[in-house]
Amino acid sequence: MRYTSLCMGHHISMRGITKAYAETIANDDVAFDLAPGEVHALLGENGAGKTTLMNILFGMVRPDAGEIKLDDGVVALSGPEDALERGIGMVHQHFMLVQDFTVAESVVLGTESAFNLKLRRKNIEQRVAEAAERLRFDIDPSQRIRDLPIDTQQRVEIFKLLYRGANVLILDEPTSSLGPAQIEDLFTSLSSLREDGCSIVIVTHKLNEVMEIADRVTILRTGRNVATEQRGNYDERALARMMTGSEVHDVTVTGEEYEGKKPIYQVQDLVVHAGSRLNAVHGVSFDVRPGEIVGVAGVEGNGQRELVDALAGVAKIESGAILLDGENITSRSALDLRRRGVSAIPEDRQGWGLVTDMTVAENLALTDVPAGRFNRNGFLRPKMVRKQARQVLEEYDVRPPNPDLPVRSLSGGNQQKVVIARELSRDHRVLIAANPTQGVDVGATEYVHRRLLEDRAEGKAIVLVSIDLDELLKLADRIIVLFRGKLAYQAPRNRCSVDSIALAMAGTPGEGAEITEREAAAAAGAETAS
Amino acid sequence: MSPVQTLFSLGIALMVPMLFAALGELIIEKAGVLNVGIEGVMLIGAFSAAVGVNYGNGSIWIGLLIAIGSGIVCGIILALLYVRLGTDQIVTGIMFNILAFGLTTTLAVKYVHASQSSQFPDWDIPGLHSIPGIGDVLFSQDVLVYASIVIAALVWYLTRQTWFGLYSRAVSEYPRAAESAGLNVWRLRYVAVILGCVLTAVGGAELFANSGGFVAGYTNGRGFIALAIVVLARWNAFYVVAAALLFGVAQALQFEADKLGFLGDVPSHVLIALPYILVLVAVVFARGSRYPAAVGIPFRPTRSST
Amino acid sequence: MTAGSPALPPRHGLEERLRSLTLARGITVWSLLRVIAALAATLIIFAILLQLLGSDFGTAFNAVIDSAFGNSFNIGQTLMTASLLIATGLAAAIPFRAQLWNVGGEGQMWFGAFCTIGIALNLPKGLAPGLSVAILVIASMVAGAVWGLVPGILKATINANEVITSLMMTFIAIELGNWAIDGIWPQGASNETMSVPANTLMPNIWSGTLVTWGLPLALIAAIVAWAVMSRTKLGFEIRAVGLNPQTARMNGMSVGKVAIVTFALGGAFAGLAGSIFILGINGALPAGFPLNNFGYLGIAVALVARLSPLWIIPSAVLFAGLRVGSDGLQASTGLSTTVGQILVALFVILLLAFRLIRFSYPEVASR
Repeated sequence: MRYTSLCMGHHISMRGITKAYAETIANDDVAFDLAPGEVHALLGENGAGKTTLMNILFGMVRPDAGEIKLDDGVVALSGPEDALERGIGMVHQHFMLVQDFTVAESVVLGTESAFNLKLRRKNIEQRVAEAAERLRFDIDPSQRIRDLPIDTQQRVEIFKLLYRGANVLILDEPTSSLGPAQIEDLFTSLSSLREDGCSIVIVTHKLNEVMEIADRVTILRTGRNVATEQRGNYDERALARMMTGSEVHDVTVTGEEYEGKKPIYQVQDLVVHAGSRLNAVHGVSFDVRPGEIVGVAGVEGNGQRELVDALAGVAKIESGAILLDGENITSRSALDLRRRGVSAIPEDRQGWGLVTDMTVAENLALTDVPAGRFNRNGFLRPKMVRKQARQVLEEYDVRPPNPDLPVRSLSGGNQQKVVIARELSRDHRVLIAANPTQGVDVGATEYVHRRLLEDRAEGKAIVLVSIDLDELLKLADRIIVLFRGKLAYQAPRNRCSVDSIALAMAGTPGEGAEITEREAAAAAGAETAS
Repeated sequence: MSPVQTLFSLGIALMVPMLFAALGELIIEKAGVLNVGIEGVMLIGAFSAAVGVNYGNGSIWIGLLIAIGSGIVCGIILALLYVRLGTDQIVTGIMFNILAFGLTTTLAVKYVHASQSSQFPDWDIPGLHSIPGIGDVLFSQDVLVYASIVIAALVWYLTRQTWFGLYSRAVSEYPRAAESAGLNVWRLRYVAVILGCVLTAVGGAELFANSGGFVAGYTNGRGFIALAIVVLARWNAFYVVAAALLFGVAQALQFEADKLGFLGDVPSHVLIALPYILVLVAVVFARGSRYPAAVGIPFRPTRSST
Repeated sequence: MTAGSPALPPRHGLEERLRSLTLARGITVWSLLRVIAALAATLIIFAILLQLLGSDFGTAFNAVIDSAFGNSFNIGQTLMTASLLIATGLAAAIPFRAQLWNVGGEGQMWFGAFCTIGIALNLPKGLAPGLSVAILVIASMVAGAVWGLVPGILKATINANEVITSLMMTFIAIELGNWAIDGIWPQGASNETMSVPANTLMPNIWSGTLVTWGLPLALIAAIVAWAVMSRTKLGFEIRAVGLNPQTARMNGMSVGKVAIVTFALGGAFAGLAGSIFILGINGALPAGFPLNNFGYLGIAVALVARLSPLWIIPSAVLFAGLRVGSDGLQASTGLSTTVGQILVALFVILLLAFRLIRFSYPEVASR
């Protein structure tokens, strides 16, 4: 087993990499270099081809053309096993960890031959503990993955690679699930790994991270190279321009300050159970007024999913209440909630928002049909469904506006528009939106933000759950932070401090709590005054 | 022996085909594949044993050998369908059962003598066999009974204490993660399916030996009961033995009912149906038993997508 | 494709050009060629098998065609078998559309037949024939639905594996049938129950053959199934749940309710097959599987029809032809009638292997 504590980096050179799939060309004659002891950012929008390129470097994807050179020798990687042998490792955006496994089992997965008949739990835990000690990693080999918070899971993923002797680490969107404090920790670890001689590739679409940690940046756009620049030769604006190919406009909040209206949507002491104790909701309360956006911040895995599921009527509520305009709607079915005016944009549109094999029209009618609309004498009227769909598609600028296409053939951004169209065009008073711009390119993100603000301007109460703090700071009137299923911070946007939010997201007690009380008192005082 | 003793003795003998099949299915499911064709494999195993006995001068061991061979062949075919071609496992399994039934029935006319049979030799374990009360019941069985217990222990060891077992677990829960750790998901599944089919076919051979001949389609749902046994036992090889024993005894009831007084009045058909009813009851008790997450879903390696 | 992405390089090759020729929605020249290839492969393997068994392919082939379609009587037999297969095909197809595997159509049909016999033998004597048939058909559909509800409810409440439960129900039903033959309504030494009274039999609609009202009943069932699947709220929910249960839930549909309703519907169609069998074909209940396997064949029928209720009609005729045809095989070649089953199963397996029958799967969620 080679686990060296010192990375002896490789020079990696990828040239002419081309990979085409059935509908698109993911990489078109792409070049990429990596030197030992550097942090190299691979920047681009969603769909630019970054993950494909790195999957090729990791051996998980075979390129149609091009070559990879490792220290002057051309290599043809036969698979991830081959890449790991040569010291190349990748941490994917969705962690490749089996929830039931212990840390030790996850780390040693794939390291011995399957025909080796002896496997002792104590033995592997010991091995892993020793290696962790030597590599100065703080992990407990006997813990189960499902009991670990997200940032610890990520540490396990990185440790897995070092254990196998990787000196090239590829991290795909490593900060997508982390809060500010954890991002700092991660960057510190990466810096020290760089010092040890490792080469690190960070695949990202976040400009500030590139500015902070990258020594070099390569920008990809729609599968092609745009530029490669050394640190110091660029600023955020330049990066944005190269990444998107156009000037990026900032969407600013222009809505009026809502006046102290009565809350129309109230969540009281909500308790929701979940598979792992970290993920449950342990008594959350907040109010939303008409024409207000309440942003729910927090690192992924602190109860957001369970909260959204409960608010959307899909999860079982153990205790607590949800009130809509004074009426108790706790534990009502999803269909019932829709009828009463609670719309929901779920995260992961393909998993929860759309039936990809159905047509656009059918997806738009997904809630209407079970509710009994378009029904005459017990029969559906497909013409009515399509007519309605056509109107909505135009209004919401979905391209192409063809109701008969299977939704799977639309781009990610347009698919999200279909979900938004369905949820916003329905009569509603409350909107629950969960990570509505995840995996959506800059143009469509702008669109989503605009629609949310329009909805707000029409007097709807919006709960916006997002792991993207910037998005919340841009759109929300009030921000609350979820940590381990509880409210750790609450403040109106114009009076909140990003530092406090960051601390609350990381669960640092004391200062955060103080501020919570102080801010809450101030907020309450200010609100009664206005 | 008293009727109760006979009941259990018979039950132990009857449980063996289902036990082998369930152990085979356990290995297969623990690698992420669902083999609904288990019934067909068992039938083919029984048929092959009959053919072996027919052409091997009546030797049951030749029959066993041929059965193992047929298990390997079935395993290769099913592995090709389930894993490499990624066909829908449930539907493929059902069709395979129909194919197996048709094939064995058609070929039996020519290659099997209905009345020719052979049995595995009994072995009275010295010492243990003389224990009053249970000695006769437990330690006076045919060798395959003992073999099945040993194999259960081996399967437990395989799934819990070997690297193959660990890798299979990964492959049955989150095969993409296994792939990115450098494992060859398909290769692991091939091995599991073939191994599992061999065990199932051996179960078929024991069925043939127990029954004194080959009758078309006489597996009669034993394979499917084995599917239920695996779920009931929550994929633990030792609980599989216990569950198989339960169903073995349930099957034995139809033969011993008249001697057991209280069951004498129950129509024989109800007793014949008892094991199936028992499965339905057991399923209610097995609530919460969860299949490994990726069972039944064909795996497409990232490298092969175009 | 996002705006501005580079154009795809033109792809040459016969395969690509064939792939792009589309005859109708979902059916391309390429897939048609693969169906023919699968058929050819089946026939080749079958011919080899026949050689092994000492028969020759030509005789066998002629025997099958003749027995299935040779004269109007035989055609009638094929059509009646087809009506059974339409019904059992629907029994499989409806739940399959919801990704619920109802493989217990055999048992649901048999229980329907069991109840048909039982009630028919006990109906008051003076009932008008039309009325008795109607009562019996409805009763058998209810019986089948009840039999289907067991796996359906178990699935909806405790998420029990419906393959296992529906298979168990089948074996129980077959045993019930055996009991009927041996003990409840025996018919002397024959392997059948007593016959139903003459006034409960379905009337003939094609003189010179044995085609009865069972055939139009089956056709109506197929049309009803089509209407439900594509034109009603229920059908919409069934489809949505089958394609993406999570999204369906999010939008107010209940997976449990769909499980129960589709299994009840499927069971009802299988029950219909049971009454067609008793009242329209056989008159009495014979021994069940493995002697008769209309339920399992129904699964094959549904798959080849790609789960579409209207396509089930021609698919059922095809499989009925094979089945009736292979009955004739025995007469001329001495082969067991189960040879037809080999043909059927082989064909479907090859279709699966050639990826002509496919189901979509969600990637395992990484929760």
